[in-house]
Amino acid sequence: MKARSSVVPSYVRPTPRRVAGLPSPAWTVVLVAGLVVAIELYARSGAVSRLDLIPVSEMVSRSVELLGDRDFVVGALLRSVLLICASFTASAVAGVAVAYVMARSRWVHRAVKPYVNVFYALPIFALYPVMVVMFGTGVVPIILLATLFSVVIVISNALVGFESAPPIVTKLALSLEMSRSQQLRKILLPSALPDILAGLKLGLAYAIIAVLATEFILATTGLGQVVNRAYNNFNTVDMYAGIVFVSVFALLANLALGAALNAFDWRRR
Amino acid sequence: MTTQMKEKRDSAPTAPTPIVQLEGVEQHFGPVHALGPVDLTIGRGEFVSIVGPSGCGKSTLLEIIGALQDPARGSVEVDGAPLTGPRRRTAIVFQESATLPWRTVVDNVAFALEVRGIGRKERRERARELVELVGLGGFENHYPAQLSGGMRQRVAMARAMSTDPDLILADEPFGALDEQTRMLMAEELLRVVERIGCGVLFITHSIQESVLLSDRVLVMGRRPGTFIDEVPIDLPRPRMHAALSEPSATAAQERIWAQIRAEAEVAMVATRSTP
Ligand SMILES: Nc1ncnc2c1ncn2[C@@H]1O[C@H](COP(=O)(O)OP(=O)(O)O)[C@@H](O)[C@H]1O
Ligand SMILES: [Mg+2]
Repeated sequence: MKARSSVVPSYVRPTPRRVAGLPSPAWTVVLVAGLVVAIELYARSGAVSRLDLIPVSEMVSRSVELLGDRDFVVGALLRSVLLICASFTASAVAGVAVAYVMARSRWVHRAVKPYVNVFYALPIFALYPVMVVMFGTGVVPIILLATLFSVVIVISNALVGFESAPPIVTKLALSLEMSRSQQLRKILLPSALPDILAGLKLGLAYAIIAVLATEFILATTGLGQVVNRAYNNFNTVDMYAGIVFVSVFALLANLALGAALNAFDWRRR
Repeated sequence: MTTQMKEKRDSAPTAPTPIVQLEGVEQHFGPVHALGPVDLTIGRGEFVSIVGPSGCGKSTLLEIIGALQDPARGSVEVDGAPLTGPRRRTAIVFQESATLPWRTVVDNVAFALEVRGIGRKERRERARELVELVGLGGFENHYPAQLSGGMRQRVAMARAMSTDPDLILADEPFGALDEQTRMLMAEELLRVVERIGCGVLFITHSIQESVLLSDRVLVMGRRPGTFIDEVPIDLPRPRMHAALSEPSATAAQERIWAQIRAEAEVAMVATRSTP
């Protein structure tokens, strides 16, 4: 069938279900697979040193091997997962709480909002020498940096949610004489929930980035440090295996949290 | 409390106190004189409509009676007592749909009861009855986004009924609906209100609607709004849409329209000359 030219601009037309005989999502897979195959062939062609690049198949098989390595699983993986969970939980709780206080108090809002706005312009990881001086190289500076890094995105999203409660609903609350805690539980939180969830998904991504990056520059163990050490030792296989592992891990964690949170999102019902 | 009881007895032992009594009520927002002075009495079970040009202070008046804002001047008594805060038996139906999009129809209707601490089983039972009453049977578990504007406004109506009100304040509740839906909803509201027997203050910009529904229509002049006319509507109840073509109904509509038109024309010229 011939596609007739449409008067509707292409950017507002819905995505076609099939492109060139394949369903649209299949093309995403084809692109990634093509890239993987290209790297594999390039690495095997001998045009590049094994110190610089190894075949993807070796990266994957080595990262699967790492999963059987007790030191890696307990010393690196588990530790990083716990740090990520701790930072994420702290920033989720603190972020929603700060946003609530900002939404409720004009003064707090005025005082805090400028920092929220410019926060991501700061190269926060440059703070790490200060952290080392103050807290040493243990878990405390990692959790602090990661919480700080992810809490701001949680705050700004939750704030959007709290502030987008329609004024008419606020009037309803007033006319029913709802207490502050009732307003929070029955109106503000549920109304802001979709935005809060969006913030939490980003917050997890930011917590993962921050924990791994901080481990890379500051820690003596952990996933980030595995990659860093392999890199310093010219152990290219372990380095790439670590990178593949970390990427897949971050992707899966985000997808899992996204799916779990979407179940609570009333806009998706 | 005791002085009120005494007043009640002193003034008119047989006539019940009106549900709403306003004297000299005014509202100012900074330099803007928004409303009044206004005197208003609404009897128990009486249906009173207010029509007037937009911006004349109708919503302000309604919010004052609903205790959503305090008047700058004047006295407000509801059910014989000076108003100190939102009353439990005053229900407000807002213009935009004030339904909660994360709750189903039943849970929306049960919301006011939930806030007042009624148990889950009891409030759901009551909500289901009301959902039936406003003609939404079968949509109990739908979300507001799945309903039309008219159906959402029925949900808001059912929620207003849920707390056994003796006074309903409705601020252009059907303003966002199309003409046909609006007429149907108006008949529906009449049916429900007649069943409950509560007093109603109804704000609308539709003259037809005001005549069809009310015992009395008050015409408000341009800002600062005061009542410039009071039109009694002597049509038999129960009323249906056809009642609008009776001679007394058309006369009432003509009379109201003449007043509003004069006010609106002056208001338009006034806004044009003071940019
Ligand atoms: N909170 C407020 N602050 C300042 N001006 C207001 C406020 N509420 C209403 N007004 C003004 O008071 C006048 C009456 O408003 P309103 O009662 O909403 O009119 P209506 O409902 O009759 O259209 C309008 O001119 C409006 O701009
Ligand atoms: Mg209004």
